[in-house]
This record gives sequence, structure tokens and C-alpha cells, in this order.
Amino acid sequence: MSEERIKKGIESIIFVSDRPVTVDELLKVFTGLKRSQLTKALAELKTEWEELGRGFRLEEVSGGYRFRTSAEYREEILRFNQSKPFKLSRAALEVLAIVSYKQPVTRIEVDRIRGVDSSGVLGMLLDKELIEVRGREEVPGRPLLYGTTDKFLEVFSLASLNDLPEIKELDELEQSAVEG
Amino acid sequence: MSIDAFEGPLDLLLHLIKTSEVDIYDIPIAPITNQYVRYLDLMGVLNIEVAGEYLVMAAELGLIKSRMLLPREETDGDDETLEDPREELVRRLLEYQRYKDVSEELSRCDLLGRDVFSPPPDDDAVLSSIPQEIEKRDVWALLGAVQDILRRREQSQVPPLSINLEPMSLEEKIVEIDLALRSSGRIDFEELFTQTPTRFVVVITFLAVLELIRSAVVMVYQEMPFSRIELLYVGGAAAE
Repeated sequence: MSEERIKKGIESIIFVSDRPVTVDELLKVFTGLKRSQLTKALAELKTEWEELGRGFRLEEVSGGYRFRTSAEYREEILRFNQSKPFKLSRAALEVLAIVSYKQPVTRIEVDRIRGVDSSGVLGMLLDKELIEVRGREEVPGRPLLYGTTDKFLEVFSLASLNDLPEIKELDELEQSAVEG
Repeated sequence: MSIDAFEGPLDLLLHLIKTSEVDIYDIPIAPITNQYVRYLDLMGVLNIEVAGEYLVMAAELGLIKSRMLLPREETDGDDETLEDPREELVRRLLEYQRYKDVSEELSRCDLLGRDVFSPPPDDDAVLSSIPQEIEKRDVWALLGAVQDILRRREQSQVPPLSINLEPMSLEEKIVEIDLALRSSGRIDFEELFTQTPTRFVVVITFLAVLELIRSAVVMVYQEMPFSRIELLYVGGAAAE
């Protein structure tokens, strides 16, 4: 199979998939190919789509590849879908911030950091599959431990947890305040 | 009714510290505690519930305040300084601030369902189905304005006119404001209160405006913090 043929095959798969397509999944489809060949094809596809400069492009999110529209056209799409411009509540964002950095983390810990009861928000985020239960902490009470999901990465357009925004270390904050 | 301009007592404290422009590493506990308590009072006046955690924090602040008043020895003989009664609180505030900053960053990401979209459309339902809240900043701005209005009312010598004894309901107030906005397009928030209203009317007006914001009929616009607040009519587009 020629390189071009492979790329077009991958492209078609990504087009019909309802979630990011991973290299592992492609290996099962293109059984004769090596991982490195697929990775190279994907990287080339991504660049080619970018250079095309269309209304949507190929993005790497949550460890896989998916077609996504450019943020530039959100107005048109929202109008087409007849939805109002949307905001994630600050509470949801704060809980997600804590869970994404401290995972696995218990509800008590989240409550402690925010200073308020966060069970409602946690329940909602669980429901939306942005966080999940990872197990229980082995202490009296065996409270549930939470972590973020792949869906979280996809919704926030992150390729992996390594792409989370930088967080200032607490001592750094104290240091800069003392000097500043 | 339960609504809040802040995410909790830590959020409120951070806000008070920022607007008073005090040093978080040397918080003047007495004035900050006073401001904090005044906020709780305002909530009481407006008949708005606050989470229990706010009251717990009020007690903690009171405790810290009294500890600060006690003469403190600088060392305990082993040349170690005793902990500043504020230290634990400051640690909690800094930690919370850290995650607040992160959440700000997260909100600036391209969100699937808000900024970027993928086929099939069902996937975008994740975000669009999450119930939205009124922008906290708007609530706080309105609360500040209401606080001023209530204060001016107390100070003014003119008693509220009570010729019209018919109590107005929240629904009626909502309709009244909606009509006023529909015709003029925009209105200063303060204009809603020009006829020396009773405290009851002030509260109802405030709640009516919140309801209109919640149903996306009205938007709040404030050019700069502490500048005058305008209400904009946006209902036409969302008319159901």
C-alpha cells in the first residue's frame, strides 16, 4: 500500500469516528504496518490539513486524532445549532482544576481547598463523564478517589495531562511575594 | 432563594483582600472581618441564603481577631517564633488562589461544544447540557450597587412614599422591568430605584433583575469596576 493510500485510509477512519482515533486502533486496522509508519502518516496528515487552511482541521486530543472546527467559526456553528454561547461555571472549573492536578483526589480534599461543599459539582462532572472514580483511599471510611477522564482531555482540547496549564508551586508564590 | 456572588468564604476573602489592596501576607484582620460580616448582613437583608461555611469562616475570623489582640511572645524559649494566628488562613487562601488561577487558564482553552466542534454533533452535548449560572462578577457588581442604594436610603431624610399600598409581586416587577427595557433597549441599574423605594421594593427589584439575567433576557454591562451599571435588553433573540 502506498503512503498516500495509507494516509487517505486513515483520514477516512478519522472522518467517520465519533471519538479521537488512536495509533493503537489504527494498528489493528493496518495490520501490516509499524507504529512508526502510522505516527509519521498522522503527523503528515496534521500538517497537510493545517496548510490547507480549511474551516476545520486535524487535531491531536486525548491521545488520538479527530477533526475539529477552528474556534474562529464558533459563532456560525452556535447559530446553526441554535445554541447560546456557553460558559462553564467557575465552580466546575475550580473542581476540575483541583482534580486534574491532584488526581487521584477525594471529595474531602476538594472541599478543603475550595472551602465549600463540592459534592454537587462533583456529581455533575461525574455525570458528564469529565471525571471518574478511580478507586478508594485506604483510610477509615474508604472515601472515593476521583480523576479526570479522556473525555475531559478532549473537551479541553488537551493532547494529554502534560498539556495542562502550568501551576505555580506554593513555595514559589510565597517566594515571589516575599521578594516582591 | 440561594444565589451567591462568590464561590465560598475563601473566594469572598480573596476578593475583599484584593479590593482593599491589603497585603495577603499581613492581613489587617479587624477591618477585613468587618467587611466580611457586612457582606453576610447584606445577604440577610436581601433574603439570600449563604452556605453554612460562610458562618463557620466568620467564627474563625473572630477567633483569629481575638488571638491577634492577645499579647504574643515572639519566641517560646527555643528561638522558634510561634505561629502567627493568621498563618493557617493565609496558607488556605494561597492554595485556593492557586487553583482559581488554574481554573482561569482552563476556561481559556478551546472547549469542545463552545469554541470548537466535532462531528457527530451528539458529542458536543457534554458541555451544552451543563446548567449555566449567572456570571458571578455580574452578581457581585449588582450587590455592590444595591448596598449603596440601601445605604443612601438609610441616610436620606425622605421617608418612602407609601401611597401605593398594593404590594408588588416578583412577577409584576419582572414584567415592569422587562417592559421598561424593551422600549429603551438599555437602562442604568440605578434608575430602577429612583422613587425612594421601600426596602422590600429594593429587594424585589434586585431579585427581578437576577431572574431576567438568568433567563438571558437581560445582560449586565459595566465598563469598569465601580463604574455605573447598565442593563441591556437582549431578550429579542432568545424569545421563546
